Amino acid sequence: MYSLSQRANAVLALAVTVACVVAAIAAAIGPLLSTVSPIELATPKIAVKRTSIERGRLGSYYNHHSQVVELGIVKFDLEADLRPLFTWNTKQLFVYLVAEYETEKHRWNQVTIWDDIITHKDDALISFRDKRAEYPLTYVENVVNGIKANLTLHWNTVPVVGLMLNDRMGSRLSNRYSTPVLASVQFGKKK
Amino acid sequence: MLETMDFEGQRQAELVCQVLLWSSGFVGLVVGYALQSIRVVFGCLGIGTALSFLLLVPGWPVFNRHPVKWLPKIEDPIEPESDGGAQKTKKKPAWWSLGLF
Repeated sequence: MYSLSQRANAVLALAVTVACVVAAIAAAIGPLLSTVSPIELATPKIAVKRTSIERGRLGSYYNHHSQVVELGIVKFDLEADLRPLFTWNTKQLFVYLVAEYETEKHRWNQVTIWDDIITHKDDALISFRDKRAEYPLTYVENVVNGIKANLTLHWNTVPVVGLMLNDRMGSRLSNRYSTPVLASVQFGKKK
Repeated sequence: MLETMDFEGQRQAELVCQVLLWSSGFVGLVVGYALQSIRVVFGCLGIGTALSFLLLVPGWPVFNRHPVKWLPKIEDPIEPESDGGAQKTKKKPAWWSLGLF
């Protein structure tokens, strides 16, 4: 503290240390409280309205270098109330709908068919009717006919300070082969 | 002009700095959690930092109340002459510094 610049350096260094400690405490409060009283969410409701198979290219419509493949389009209704996830330490919520299916060649396939970023608590009350999925469902073998998929709602909580948490509708301890199912989708007819 | 602090002032400034910053951190945390707003937490911390800067970085007169008491200047003492040239006047250099210079 013997000169002007040294005092400024000392004050600033202490301020940064205090900020780090305060941020660590603020980040730890959320997970600690949730072990005592976990956040309860009502089960989201999905109704699948219409599924169709189209033929098109992934990527640009005019890009003739990529091949024409079968695309599964889903139209769905979604009702979900994710407002309890918005704590003081939440910056945004990344919500996405995943379709999971199994074929003879590949045991476990996952495709995201819709996602959204929610930045305000009021927007977390999701209510869609006849919503066309943002992304088509595809398969590595480029044939979608006959696929039966299960839909699950996943979300990432992005905090202001702290760790990002992933969760999905259902129990936290579901393993990958027993994912909680919201709805089933059938594309085309089974061969 | 507001550049220097004496040692007692430096000690006081360090104490005020610690108290001000830590208390602004924890008060901000408590008030922010009560109001459920994380902006209050870091806003309170920012105000505490700005206040610390204003109060403690310049050498205000309140931190200069105990200036160092320097001893009075004395005249250069007259060196006594060493006897003859028989004795060495140069000190022998240490063995470990011989290779350096």
